[in-house]
Amino acid sequence: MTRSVAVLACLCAAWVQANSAAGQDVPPVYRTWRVYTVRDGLPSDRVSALRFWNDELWVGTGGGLARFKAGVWKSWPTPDDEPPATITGIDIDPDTHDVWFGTLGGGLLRMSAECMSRFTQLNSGLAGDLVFAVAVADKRIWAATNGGVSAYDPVREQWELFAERRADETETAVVGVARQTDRLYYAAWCGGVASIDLKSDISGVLDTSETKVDARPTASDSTIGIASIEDTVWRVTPTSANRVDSKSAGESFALDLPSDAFIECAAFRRPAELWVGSDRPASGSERTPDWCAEPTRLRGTSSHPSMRIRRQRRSRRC
Amino acid sequence: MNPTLRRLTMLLSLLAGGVAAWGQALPLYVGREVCLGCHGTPAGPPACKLEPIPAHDRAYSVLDSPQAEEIAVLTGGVGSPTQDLVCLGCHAAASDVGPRWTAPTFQIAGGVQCESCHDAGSLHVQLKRRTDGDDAYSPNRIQRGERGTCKRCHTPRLSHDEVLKRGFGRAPADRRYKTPTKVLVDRDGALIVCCEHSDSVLFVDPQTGSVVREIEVGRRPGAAALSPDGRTLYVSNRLSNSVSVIDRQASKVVAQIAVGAEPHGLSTDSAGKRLFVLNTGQDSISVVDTAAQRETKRLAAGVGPWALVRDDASQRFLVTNVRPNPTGFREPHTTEISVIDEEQAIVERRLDAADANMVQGIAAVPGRRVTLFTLMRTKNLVPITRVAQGWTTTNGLGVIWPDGTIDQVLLDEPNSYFADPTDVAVSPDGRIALVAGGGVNEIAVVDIEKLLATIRDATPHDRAEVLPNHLGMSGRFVVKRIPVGANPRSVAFSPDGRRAYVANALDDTLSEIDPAKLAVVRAIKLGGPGEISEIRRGERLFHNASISFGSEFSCRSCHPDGHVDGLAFDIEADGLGMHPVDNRSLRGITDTGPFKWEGTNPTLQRQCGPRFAVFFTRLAPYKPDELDALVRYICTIERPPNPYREAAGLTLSQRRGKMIFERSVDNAGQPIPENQRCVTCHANAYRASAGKAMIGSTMWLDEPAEIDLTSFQHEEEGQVGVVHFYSERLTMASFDIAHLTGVQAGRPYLHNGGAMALEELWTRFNAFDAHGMTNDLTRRQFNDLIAYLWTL
Repeated sequence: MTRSVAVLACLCAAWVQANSAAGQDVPPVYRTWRVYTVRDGLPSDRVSALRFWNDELWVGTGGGLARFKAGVWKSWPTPDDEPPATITGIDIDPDTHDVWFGTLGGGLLRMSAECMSRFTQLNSGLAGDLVFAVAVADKRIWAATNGGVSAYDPVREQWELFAERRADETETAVVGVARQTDRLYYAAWCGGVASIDLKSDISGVLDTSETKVDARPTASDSTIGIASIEDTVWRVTPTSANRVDSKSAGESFALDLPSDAFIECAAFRRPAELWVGSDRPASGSERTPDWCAEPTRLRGTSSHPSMRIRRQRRSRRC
Repeated sequence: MNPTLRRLTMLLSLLAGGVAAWGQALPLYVGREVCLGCHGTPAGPPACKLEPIPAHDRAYSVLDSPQAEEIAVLTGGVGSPTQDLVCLGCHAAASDVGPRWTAPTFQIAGGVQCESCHDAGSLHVQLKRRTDGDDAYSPNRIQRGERGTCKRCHTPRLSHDEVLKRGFGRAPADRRYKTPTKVLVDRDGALIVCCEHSDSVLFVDPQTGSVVREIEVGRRPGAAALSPDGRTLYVSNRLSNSVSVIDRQASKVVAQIAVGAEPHGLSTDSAGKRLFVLNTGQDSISVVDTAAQRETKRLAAGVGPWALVRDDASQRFLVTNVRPNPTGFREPHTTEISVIDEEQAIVERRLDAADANMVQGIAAVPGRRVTLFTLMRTKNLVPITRVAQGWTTTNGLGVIWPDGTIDQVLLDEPNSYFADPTDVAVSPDGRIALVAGGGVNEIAVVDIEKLLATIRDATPHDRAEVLPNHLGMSGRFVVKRIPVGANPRSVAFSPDGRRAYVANALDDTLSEIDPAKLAVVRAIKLGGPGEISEIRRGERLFHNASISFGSEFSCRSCHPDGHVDGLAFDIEADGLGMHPVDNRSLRGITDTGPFKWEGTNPTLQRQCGPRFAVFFTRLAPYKPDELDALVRYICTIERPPNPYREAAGLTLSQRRGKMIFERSVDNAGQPIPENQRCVTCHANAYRASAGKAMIGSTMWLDEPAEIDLTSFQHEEEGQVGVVHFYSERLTMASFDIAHLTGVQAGRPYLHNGGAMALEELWTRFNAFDAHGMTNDLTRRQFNDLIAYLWTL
């Protein structure tokens, strides 16, 4: 729980600071942090997903969904879950304002006007009930699952499955989805990154000739997350983040995470700033979760942002 | 055909096929001529022993005949038989897949062709060899004409016998009925009437009562709405899945806007920039940009959104839904009132009307911030035979308060029910409400102040538990019942409140009511034929509750628009909750006998005859001539167009699903026993066959069945599916093979309504492949199969 609270604290604080013009010059790690817990209205302290949308912060937890809006928390338990499934990904349909979120074991859920409906591998075309990430793109709902990427068209009520075998996955579990203008990228657990042309629905693995990124996994360099901002998409491994979108010029930067680290979330706050949440410290064997990222700039030929992991002491309330 | 030309044509067709198939190696239909190019030559491969069959050649052309048109009517067809998939299913090859999957050499006019039995042949032609035994996705598979293939079409058809042997034909009057289903009054007092049967909108002069103009719109217009400036009229076309835009100045349709399935209620926002259209058949709300005249987004509604009204104070629309939300098996239902935020065009809240269903008409009460809606309270979880105690269906009104709280009251009286309340209108002064009782041919006049006082004076407990069920309360606020014409479905006040008009659907009239006198002062004829045909008589019987004890319900009460109310019923008095049966649609069922889930009724006459009186109505059954008329009408209940089927034909996923549906080998390459193939039981154009099948759906609540499990020849134990492990004493029952036309709109599924989604038939209830071999399917294959089923 401590780890999760810390992750939440970091990211909530980032959100708070992002809305504070006065704090722009000070790295987030040095600012004042406020920790939100169940005492503030969260359904659980085990926070596992975050989504900023308009003036709202949506939080997925191990006990349900919560929204932070105008300084007020409101929460909704996931229905019929015993124990409650952990929420892993959240996105909002800009047309309908429906909130779509994925759960570990409970499938994909839609909260529309505060009423939830559940899509599972038993009652729908969802590929698997372990949903790792959710994205709304091209008027479809994309869910990264243990069975591949499921795309649901709520108008046509049709499901498509993308489990690209040429993506060199060692298994079909998809741990992340990220969207660009006309392309959706997904990362296979310990595998490569594949993309889908949203206009044609043709998917394929990214190859080195296209992206200058070797999508094939190695023992020490396997995909465990994916993140996007503006028109860039980044593949996250325990040791690096590589830009993999079609306009990539081979940018990458190093991360200092152990190879067995499980990245809970990787998200850009702004183009120069990638935030990574993990269940491992940045280095060494100490199992403290209290670390966060300090944004910096890449030195060298590329002008793209980079970052390095900096360990923080618990006393810094990071 | 010249051999060189034939080869060139073949090459072009295959090239085109590759495009059509999006690069996937799925075969196209090439047509008879290409097949005979090889199989019709002496030196070529074996020719079909059945060729030529002149009747097969003519199979398509005969659809363009008056007799075919009558047959199509008896199958619930909408439009020409040459476009109807049920007709084409046996009269033309490749009709199921659509033009997207045919090569240029294919001509649908060729009727029943080689590929009708042998499936699409382009890849077979390409490879010039026969390779049976491959899996369903194998690119070079060519089906054999197996036993039973002919029987898929060559079986007795009641629809055909009625026309070809007994000379059935619609009466001339059947083509001239108007069937007014919606009346509205514009700001100047002019009447606008949607006429479902004539596919038109009538404009009526309220002074003279004469029809001054009739404008043809789409199929089965069901509702209409004016733009805020009154210059544009929007009409929803239930069976065209569209909205007609009428320029009132020019008196013509200027646009057709495609929306979702079976659109009904619609309304513009206060600025007239957006149009909200309720897609009753797709549980959604289309948001239309009125300037661009196109749908911009679609919102999720409840189940079967029907009508909407704007609450001016909150700038919200309140939307009724006909069917209840899915609940757990044998659990009480609740129906949603959806709330739309007009500014953002999103569904903002979802209110629950507990135990209510068939929530249809809705009207705001001016000056009170209260909204009224019509409802039924169907007691589906207790034996329906308790009609005499008011325990089958009660009918009433709902009241929505500003905070979203809902109260319910009944309009019924003991032994004098107010069946099928379908619409409500409130006088401009907010004093009275008029409720159309479609099943009793009456308008109930509700004193709104007395109604609200009755609710306010009740305790919280009584408001929750007593008022919604009390048959003796309506006398406090129903001040009169006014007899009107047959099957009143819509009611509207004039802007000054001095007149109200009622659309009497089944006698083609409007009843003009003087609210001061609470009486009908004039009947306005809308121009129907003025005579009652047999079908029309049956339609009236179907919609009239006088057949049931106390006029509690009509056939339509459970089968709105000939479809379903989304409930599973306890029918017989053999214990509470025993033997639940899912309600079944009546759309296009003529040729799908036997009837009843147990399959014990070979004809609709038997289904709707004396047993109907014994189990349902508890009154004298229909007389023979009434029964014939009723059945005749039921046979004409129309099948709506399928919203999941594109005009070009099946999508790639749907096409792959069709191949799964028709496969004869599993993913391991092993033959699938014939009784475990989808297409064996769901064989004909309706995707059904006459008979029953054991699909492992027996449960502990069902009647003892024919076969004891101990004698059932199968090595696996617990043959009967996941839910049936509760009892070891079970015997295995077989049930009627359901037809699959319109299956996407038929939730819930199984004989007892135990499957809330189509997928669950196989993910939850087919552990041992008793309901077809599906457990070897990959996830994508399974999704493809579902996608195909939704196109039927």
